[in-house]
Amino acid sequence: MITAGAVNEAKATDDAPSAEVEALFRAHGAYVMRAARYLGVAERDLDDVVQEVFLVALRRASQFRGNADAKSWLYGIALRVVSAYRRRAHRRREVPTADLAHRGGATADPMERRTARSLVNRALEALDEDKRAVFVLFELEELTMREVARAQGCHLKTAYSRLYAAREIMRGELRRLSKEEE
Amino acid sequence: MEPHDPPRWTDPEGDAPDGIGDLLREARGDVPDPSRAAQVAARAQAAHAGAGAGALSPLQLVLGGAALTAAVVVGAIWVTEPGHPTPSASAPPAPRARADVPGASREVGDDTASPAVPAEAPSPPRPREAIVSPEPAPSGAIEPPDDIGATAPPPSRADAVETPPAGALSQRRAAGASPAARRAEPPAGRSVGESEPQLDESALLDRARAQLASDPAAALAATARHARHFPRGLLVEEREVIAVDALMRLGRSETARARARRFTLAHPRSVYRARVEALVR
Repeated sequence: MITAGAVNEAKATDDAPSAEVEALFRAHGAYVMRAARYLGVAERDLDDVVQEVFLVALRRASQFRGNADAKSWLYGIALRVVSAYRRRAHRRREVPTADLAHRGGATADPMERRTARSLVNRALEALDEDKRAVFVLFELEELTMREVARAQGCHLKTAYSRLYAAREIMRGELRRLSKEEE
Repeated sequence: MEPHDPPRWTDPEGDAPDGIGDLLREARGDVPDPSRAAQVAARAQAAHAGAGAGALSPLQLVLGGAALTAAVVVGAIWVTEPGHPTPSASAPPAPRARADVPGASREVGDDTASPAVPAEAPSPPRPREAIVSPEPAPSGAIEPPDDIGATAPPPSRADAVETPPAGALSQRRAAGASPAARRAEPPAGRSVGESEPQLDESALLDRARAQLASDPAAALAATARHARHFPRGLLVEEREVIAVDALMRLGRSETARARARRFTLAHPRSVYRARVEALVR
């Protein structure tokens, strides 16, 4: 049987990095949430997905290497959680129609069509997952390309080529969509 | 921005097509309310603390923190452990399904919680029927990766989200907001705060907020309880807003003002600063 002492001991060793991770949430939590939105998380799932990001970050607190890599670390976790979420969402297409009205992104409410968020999100739908991630992290979240590459777990060169490809597609999409709006 | 980075499209020198820089700047300015993120963080913290005190224990006991042998063993222990807490107890560890990509690296070693769930659990509500994964954990999985950013993108940990959203949601809400959780009081003399998974930080403050109009004294008492249990909580600023509001409603404006002053001193850049100042005006 497990003793209370063992639990406390295990928790004590976790506490220092957890506190740092909690400070990270304070500093970047809302931005991670914004990123999740632009990475394609539906509004109604946003809290759950971001909670999962935070939970994973807390579990991995011992791997947190301090503030130099803070953004890459946290956004890296976010990318993977969102990616899993999207794979699942893709598999379960049987979304009740009533729910569609609450979804952001590609199926945004017509009332929200004019917001920058929904416009940008619709354009982002044209990108594949990797390009979308680079575009969102660099253009909207303002990570450096080095941080983007680290968060994605790819080479810097790969990240650059994804950025340029993403920009090419976004240029066309945003132009087309803003014309539609007029 | 590093020297080799191209200018961003939102930068003045960026080469964004007409109007797109403005659009992206506007999109960037659309940040969710920090209190929403703080609430979510608090819930994650509660779930984390719950997992630490409950669900992790059998694993910590059996393996004693030694290197995990294989997912098979862990799964078997978990499945056969009779006293294993059910996921419905307090905040559950997030359930997970197996990785989509065959051979995707399973980062088992970084978290003693996760391997407790069999790798191929079909769905969270029926964990006991889980099939034990026939594949052993990849040998590399025992060591946490040095650089998390450099690990292969198709992860296993991220699959934690792969649960039906409705189920996960209701479970979570139930854990955070059930009357039992709200009523729960830690035993006297016990260390409080994050180690008490029954008392959910955001549920406590949600209730306090709901009571403001009808029973400000109770709301104030709830903020005091929050202060006792979560001295380093994630919702400290939210709590102070409620406390100042409650004090004003009780006609204790001098105390409210003093507390508001302390708030602005302690959190000069808080998003709630204007609200607190307006409350005591």
